[in-house]
Amino acid sequence: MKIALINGSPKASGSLSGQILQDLRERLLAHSRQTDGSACDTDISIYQCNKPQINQQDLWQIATCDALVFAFPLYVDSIPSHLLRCLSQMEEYLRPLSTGKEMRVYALANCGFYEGVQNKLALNMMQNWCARTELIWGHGLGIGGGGMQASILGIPDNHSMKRGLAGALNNMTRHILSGSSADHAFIDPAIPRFAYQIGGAVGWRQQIKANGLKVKDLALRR
Amino acid sequence: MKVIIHDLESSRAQALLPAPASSANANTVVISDDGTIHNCIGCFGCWVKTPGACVIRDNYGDLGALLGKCDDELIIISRCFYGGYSPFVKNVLDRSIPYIHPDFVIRNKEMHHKRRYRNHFDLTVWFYGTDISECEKETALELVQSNADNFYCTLRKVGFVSDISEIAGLIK
Repeated sequence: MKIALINGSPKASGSLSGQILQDLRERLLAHSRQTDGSACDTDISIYQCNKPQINQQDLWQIATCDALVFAFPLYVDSIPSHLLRCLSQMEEYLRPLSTGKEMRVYALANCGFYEGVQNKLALNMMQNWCARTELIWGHGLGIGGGGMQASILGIPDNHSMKRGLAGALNNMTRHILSGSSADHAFIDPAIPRFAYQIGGAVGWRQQIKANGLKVKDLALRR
Repeated sequence: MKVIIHDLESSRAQALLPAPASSANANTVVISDDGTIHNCIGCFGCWVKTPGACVIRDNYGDLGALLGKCDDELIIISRCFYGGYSPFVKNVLDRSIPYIHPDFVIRNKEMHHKRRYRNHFDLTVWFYGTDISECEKETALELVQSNADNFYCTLRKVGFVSDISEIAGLIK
């Protein structure tokens, strides 16, 4: 099975989307080993979509895959503009090739808001893209609390902070490898919302002070 | 002030949008695609380095401040892309996040960003495209309502037209 993991973050490195895809890659390989005894038949490549254009070589490679898995941050309630341009380009390239091909599409959207469900419209848009490109929609996962999920990814799956995220990523893994489809799933951070809200406020204050500005400058009007 | 964001070619825009030079429209700012816009890089510099302004100093670096002066209506005219805006219009919105404050507030049982400015405007969106599906329309309607919630504005209208010439005379 050939899988393309497509990182739709505009950041060249250190993005949560990239870390989620690395984690997912490990799960896909581990699950393949468990079921087949080896992961030889699972070919996984990661593609960076951090610019508003995707190169021809990547397009050609992506077109040969059985599953496309997108991970991206939520921007203004939906898909970031640079990724939208890439999706448009991919639609033009993939649609003529889609006849008779069983390519499935999966997506993981993450947002800074606490509620994972706030990613719903971005996942719906991915589903709409899938319909336009004549590919098969697989599954969407909306991850809330993006501000803290990066630090959660590194801890063991059975830790109370990680259980929800790990379970959702394991479900995504199973859907991808079995070629199955399911409704969107959404997860929130494993801490109370007020604590996440306070954590965010503290983080912004630390960052603005580190940049030599005052806390009150967070509210500057131009 | 009224703000119009659109993705129309210049000849179409001239035919459909109010002439910027006329005195009646002196208070209208039109944001068009001049081919130079850079995408948001997710650095949050507009919140913690140069609060209220984007760190990318191209022709679209002060959209947050511009929306802060909008006290009448924001009109968006966009080709419908998968139930959302076209890449250019979305790029403009992505670069507009300095309009809001990084801190979170809870409204209607959901987390949103706090507002930076105290102005208020109405939001009107025209989506165009010859084959917009029902699913795309449904997504677009929900999307614009979410945008209105996050930008603290009142949703006035969302319209769908198959040909952009159908909105002639409706943009004032």
